[in-house]
Amino acid sequence: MRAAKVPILDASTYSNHGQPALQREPSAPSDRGGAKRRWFVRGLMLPGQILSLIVLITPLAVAFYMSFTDWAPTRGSLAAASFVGIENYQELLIYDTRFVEAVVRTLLLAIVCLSIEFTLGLGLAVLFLRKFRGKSLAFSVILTPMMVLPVVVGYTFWMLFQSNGPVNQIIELIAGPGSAPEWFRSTPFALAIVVITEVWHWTPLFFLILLSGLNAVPENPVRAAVILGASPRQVFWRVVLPMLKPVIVVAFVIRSMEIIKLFDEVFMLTRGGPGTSTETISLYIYKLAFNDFQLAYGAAAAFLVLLGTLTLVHILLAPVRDQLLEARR
Amino acid sequence: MTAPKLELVDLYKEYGDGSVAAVDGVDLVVEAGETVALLGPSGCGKSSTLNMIVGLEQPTSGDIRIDGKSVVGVPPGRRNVGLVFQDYAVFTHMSVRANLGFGLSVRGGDRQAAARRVEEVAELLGLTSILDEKATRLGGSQLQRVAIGRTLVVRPAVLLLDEPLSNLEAESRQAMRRELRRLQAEIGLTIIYVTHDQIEALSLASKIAVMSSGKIVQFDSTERVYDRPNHVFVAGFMGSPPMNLVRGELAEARFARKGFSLTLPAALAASAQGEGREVTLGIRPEQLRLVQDGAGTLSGRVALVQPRGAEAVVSIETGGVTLQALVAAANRPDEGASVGLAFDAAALTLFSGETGRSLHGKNGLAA
Repeated sequence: MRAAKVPILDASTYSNHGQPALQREPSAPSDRGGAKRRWFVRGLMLPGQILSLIVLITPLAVAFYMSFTDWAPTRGSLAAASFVGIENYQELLIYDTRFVEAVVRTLLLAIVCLSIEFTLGLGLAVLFLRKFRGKSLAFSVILTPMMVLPVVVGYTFWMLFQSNGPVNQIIELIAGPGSAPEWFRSTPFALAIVVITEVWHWTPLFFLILLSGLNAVPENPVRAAVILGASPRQVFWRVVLPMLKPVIVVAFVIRSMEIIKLFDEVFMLTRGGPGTSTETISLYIYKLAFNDFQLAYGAAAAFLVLLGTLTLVHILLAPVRDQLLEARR
Repeated sequence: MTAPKLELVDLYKEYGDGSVAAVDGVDLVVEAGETVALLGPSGCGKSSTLNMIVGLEQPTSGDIRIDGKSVVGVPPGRRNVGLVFQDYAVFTHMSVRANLGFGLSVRGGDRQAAARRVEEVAELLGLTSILDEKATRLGGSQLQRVAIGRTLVVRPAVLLLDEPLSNLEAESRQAMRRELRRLQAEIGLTIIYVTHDQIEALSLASKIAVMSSGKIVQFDSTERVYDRPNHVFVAGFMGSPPMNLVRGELAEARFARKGFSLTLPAALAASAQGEGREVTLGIRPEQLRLVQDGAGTLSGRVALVQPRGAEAVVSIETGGVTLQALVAAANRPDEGASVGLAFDAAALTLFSGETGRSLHGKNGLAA
């Protein structure tokens, strides 16, 4: 909202007060050309919209319908499947403990992984505000994990933690033979490896986003705080970090959407085992669809996840929504 | 006798290889309750000086004393100076109350006393009604008052303001000017304005220090800086339009350059005795009067008329020299007209062609 420009005569300016005709905005161009232009723009967007209708909206609609049926590919076409209403959803939320456990597990993994990734990423980013030798090399090295394919990352860490893999060989070298654990046979160890893999893989993203955020923090509020007597620690916690809040939230939103979809690494590392103790939502839905061929049931699960993700993202964005949407002054 | 609030002693600041000094030997004494403007074009070293006073930069040599005590090496937060940034630098993620209280809260201490002090300052600056607003919701002049209040809460010995009016719209500029003068009168603040805008300096400060190339060229009361510039730089910098300056040679009382000559009053010419023959003659545009052609001391042709409301700037060509005169809009001549120029001999100023220094003050001619 901006007040209309009114020329005000001030001792410091020599504005031509009393000449409003000169100040008036040139009249807006006639709207006829505008309407034509709008249709042209819409026409340009049409092919893209048709394409997205075919490849995105249609399958989504089909899947949504499917989630209310008992269809399975072994039982003929989707049209022949019987409509079961919200039965699939009921089953999932009330009786399917494996689903509920996968949801809880994924959320816990998200909390643990994101906390570690954020802390490490922030620490690294703060470190990179200073000058040091080999900074640009270190920058490239830190970013590298992010660029590796998730499948490759999963496979690499699977190899590292094999019972006769490099990690165990080092442990046995130090602590003697027989001292190394069977990583993938123990639930806590298997979960820990999933966390380690995720953290190694995605801390660079936090680092990158937070570093660009830190570099964009305006200098003057920081200086003002220093002059007002704040210690470096107070400046960081009370001025820099709050100003970084929107960036932090965006980083968390991106990462939490990704980690809810966590699949490749877990698939390569544990396939959800031992038992189902490291099974994530994506992995469970994958197994439902492609091991058990319960496609309709899997679709219902997928829609629940979509709903959950949507809610989560909006909850995360709520505190900085105004800040992000507010027009720049 | 109390020590001056702020003293700069032979202050130097060099950057990089040290071939150029950003601040080149600045001496300045600001007494308690004074309002001083540090005025100069961009790149003259005023920002470096400001940063050294608040402690964001360390001087290469020289001393800074606040209340008589050297603060060189003292961290910014313990110098007891306040700085209001040009862009205000208000903490936008905090409420007005938290902004005002920041200085006291980082120091720890009695919370209730701090809260009372915040209320007190809010009252002083008219911020009481918006104490619990978020700073993002405020407009320019409110932000500035928050920025000023935030520094006042910790009772600084000296308050520095960097370009305080430049980010405000014309209307709020007037109000803030009154506000700053009122504050100064009410709590006897010692204020230093750092600005490149001479109108800001003239309207806010009681004394002006004009800086150029890292040096203070003139430090004097506002009126004297304007009326009696002691250097060609000050003369050419102050005023809008600035003083007319004509370079030429002086022989006896005759000032001459190609196609332009003028006989100076004996007293003025005498002040230039012993100097080189090269001088610069100066006169303020508002001291030039337009008269009938032939009636004035000089005559010339009107080259350009720039109206600006109540006044008009008239450029007159005379003998290869262009002089600017400030006249009432009603009396402005037509372009191309022939006019005479009259002025009081006392309005003339002479500067040395060599050093640029004013030749007033010599031979007892100073006003």
